[in-house]
Amino acid sequence: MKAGRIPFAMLVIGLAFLYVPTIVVIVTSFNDSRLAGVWTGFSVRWYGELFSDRQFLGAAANSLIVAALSASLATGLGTCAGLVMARHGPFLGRTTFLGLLATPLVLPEVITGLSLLLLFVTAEQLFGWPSGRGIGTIVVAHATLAMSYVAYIVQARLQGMSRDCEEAAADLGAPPLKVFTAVTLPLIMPAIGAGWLLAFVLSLDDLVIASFTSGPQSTTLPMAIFSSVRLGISPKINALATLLVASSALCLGLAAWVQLRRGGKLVPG
Amino acid sequence: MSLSSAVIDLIDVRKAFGGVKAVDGVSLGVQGNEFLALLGASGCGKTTLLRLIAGLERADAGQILIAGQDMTSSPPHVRPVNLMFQSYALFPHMSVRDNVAFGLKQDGLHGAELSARIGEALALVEMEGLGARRPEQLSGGQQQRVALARCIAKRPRALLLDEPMAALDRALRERTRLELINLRRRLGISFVVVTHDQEDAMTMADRVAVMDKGKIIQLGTPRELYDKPGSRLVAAFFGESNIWDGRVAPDGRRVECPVLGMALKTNVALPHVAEAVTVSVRPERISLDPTPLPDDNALADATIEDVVYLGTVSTYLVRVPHGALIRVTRQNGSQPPLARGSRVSVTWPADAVVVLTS
Amino acid sequence: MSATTSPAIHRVTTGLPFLWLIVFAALPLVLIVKISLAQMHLGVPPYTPLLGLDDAGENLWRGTLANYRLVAGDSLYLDAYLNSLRIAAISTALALMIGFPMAYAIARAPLGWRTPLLFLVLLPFWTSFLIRVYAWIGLLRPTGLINSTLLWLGLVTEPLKLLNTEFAVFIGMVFCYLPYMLLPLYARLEKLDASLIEAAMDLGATPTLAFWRITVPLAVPGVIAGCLLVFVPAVGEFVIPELLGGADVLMIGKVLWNEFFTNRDWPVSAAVAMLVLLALVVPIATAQVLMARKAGEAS
Repeated sequence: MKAGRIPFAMLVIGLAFLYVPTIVVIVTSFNDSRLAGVWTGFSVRWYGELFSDRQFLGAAANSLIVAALSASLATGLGTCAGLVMARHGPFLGRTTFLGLLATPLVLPEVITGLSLLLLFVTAEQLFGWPSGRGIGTIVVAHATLAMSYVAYIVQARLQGMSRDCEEAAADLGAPPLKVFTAVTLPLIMPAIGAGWLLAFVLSLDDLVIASFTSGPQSTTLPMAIFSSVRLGISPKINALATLLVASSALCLGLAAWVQLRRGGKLVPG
Repeated sequence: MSLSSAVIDLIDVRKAFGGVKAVDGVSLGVQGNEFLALLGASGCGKTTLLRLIAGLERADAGQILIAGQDMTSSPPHVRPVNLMFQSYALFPHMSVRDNVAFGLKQDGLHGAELSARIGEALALVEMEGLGARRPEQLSGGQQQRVALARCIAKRPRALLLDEPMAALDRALRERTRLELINLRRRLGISFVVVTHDQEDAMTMADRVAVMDKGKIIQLGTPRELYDKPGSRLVAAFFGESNIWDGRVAPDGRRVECPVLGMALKTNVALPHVAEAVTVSVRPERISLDPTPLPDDNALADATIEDVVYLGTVSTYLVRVPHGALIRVTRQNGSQPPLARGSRVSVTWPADAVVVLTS
Repeated sequence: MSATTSPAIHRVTTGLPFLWLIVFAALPLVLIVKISLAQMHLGVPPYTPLLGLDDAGENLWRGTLANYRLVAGDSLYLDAYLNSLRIAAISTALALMIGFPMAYAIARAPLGWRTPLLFLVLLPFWTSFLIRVYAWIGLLRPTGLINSTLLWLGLVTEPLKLLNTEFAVFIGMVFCYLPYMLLPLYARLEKLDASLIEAAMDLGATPTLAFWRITVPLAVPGVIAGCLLVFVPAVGEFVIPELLGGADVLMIGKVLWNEFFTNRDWPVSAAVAMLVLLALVVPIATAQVLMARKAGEAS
């Protein structure tokens, strides 16, 4: 069956639309000139300036810490929630549970951010915790957002998987906890890994929720980029953008390579 | 059937799923050393019954005894029976060896004893050389052998097999049937096999339980079920049959069948006069011989409407004057073939007539 | 209950995420309602308590609907709110018009091509959202690539105002949310059996008729899911209107942000948040009803 000319043309145009702006940024980042419009020669001077900028480096470190912690927390909570959705029968409050799990996905970031900030402020007033906001509060906020994504990924994997293997393990004499650790967990590991990666990227990418829930000492990379971008185009941001694109391409390439080597599919489903 | 001789005893077991009765009051004893088949169409409850024995489903009512112990509410991991899944359910993240070792490790086996038991189980299914392989690197037939080895390594009191032939092609099926029979003899344990294929049941099983709508409708040896089906359903399940409705004739010894235009002689005891009954005659018991014996049922002036050549036999569809279409099978070779449109007489002895109760 | 899991595992796996969600998803929303009824106040926290003691030491209800009155009365909020819905709706429609043919082309591409193409479409999703928006600033600004090219070609004599317009916001929205539209559409179209279309054509339908009568109706659940995934975040979007829309494009997410960070009026921010919540409940509930009806038809 032929794809048809119009859809195919749209696909090409659409892909160009998706890639051209980023490619322009990457090219500009190697421009010696401060003015983006004029090409004055190849240079890596903006990378040098970027790496001597303490503010950006500190923000990048904060972002990585927050992303790693919140992704791990979200993966733990989300895996549990995915198991609940796919494997556990009805229980009291199941509808409420599913509704709450969906809220971080449908709420605009500004509302999630504001509401969590109000929670942290109220909790500090009542219990003295968290005393001020910082890395910890961003981690909690990002984990809450990402756990829903992880839950849906894990649930999809569990639902696509027959229960035969788990039942066979029980039949062969494994008690429930052993069935879970020896069979269920290894089988959903790819989904858990994908969930962690998504949670990590979501956290690394978030500006709005982090802005609401951060404190003065916990500026994340998107927050630093945002305050710089607001002032206009900056060669340093071009360099940073190129590095970010390169690192995510590298991570994805690595993940795809591992998947293909293990004979798996690139896109789950 | 005494409790002591049975490995598995089911007493009035019931299980419903959301109002649908999957297993509806089944009582059954599986003898030690027996090959029992649960036969029925899909949805008859045979797999649910197997899962109830394995403990993967909880019975709503009734009792399940395994080796004399009440295990009605025991979880699957403590029951001394093992189930071979239709999908085989091999653990994809473990090698063949680790799959077989899994169940043994749950029993606390380790070291030399563990290796010996794995080797023994793999040898029984002739898979010794493939222990390091992953399940996905095996053919369907090989996967089945591993699944089998994984179960028998545990030395269960009974082996439960859920549609073991479903995923195999025709040639492999016949070989596997013989291998399962042999394996059961060598192990000396009971096999309970669920199948929808009467040929599987007939060729492998010592006894067959035919299930319909959650109930066992007939239990017996394959020969008993073939020769004396108790119901229309069983008669239809085991091979071809001519089935006619009729009434007990006034003499109380024959059955009047309107579509045949005659009263059938039979050797079996009949219910009351004028009561409605169904009779069945196997096609190979009917002959197209023009010279009937005096005690035979015979109909003259029938016409051959169609001939289906099946190699060693041919099936003839014969129309009798009162309208019934009778199916007759005849050996080829020994007798000259009959052409379509030929005029024939159909005859069958009185003892070929089976009276069905339902 | 499944025979392979124990009640203890059940309790832990259900209890942990449930508790977390109650504390960090449900409770914060309750607090938004609460604080939207309070008044701004200089201090920590910057809002008044709802219950206070009067002179006689009696408990006194100090809640007020003043914030809602302000939000409803000032045309700024209502305009921003309606504008958000309009911009989100147009962006969704644009994303659908671009995303559907793309998804269709991928779903009908040779089998070996589908995964790489899908990968290519989803790849930008994994790179920083902020960077993707930033990239467009570079293209759209007066001295950016688009204007330089147009000037060089002599098509225009002075730079067009592209940045800080609604047009720029649409571009940003479609650019950022296209993968959300594409994925459910592709999932749906890919499952669609090509033999259905062949059957329709065998029965005398032209390719165009087969497309409209077979492909499109069967893709409806994917269209609904995709539109929802674009519309919902677009309504509350902050970064795109802030960076690409400039001061002229008013959206509710931006208003909320400014109330909070610039005016430091937490109670009004909370009231605006309630308004956005209302704006989202309606489309989501509608879509859910539609989905449920579709599912009902299917079974």
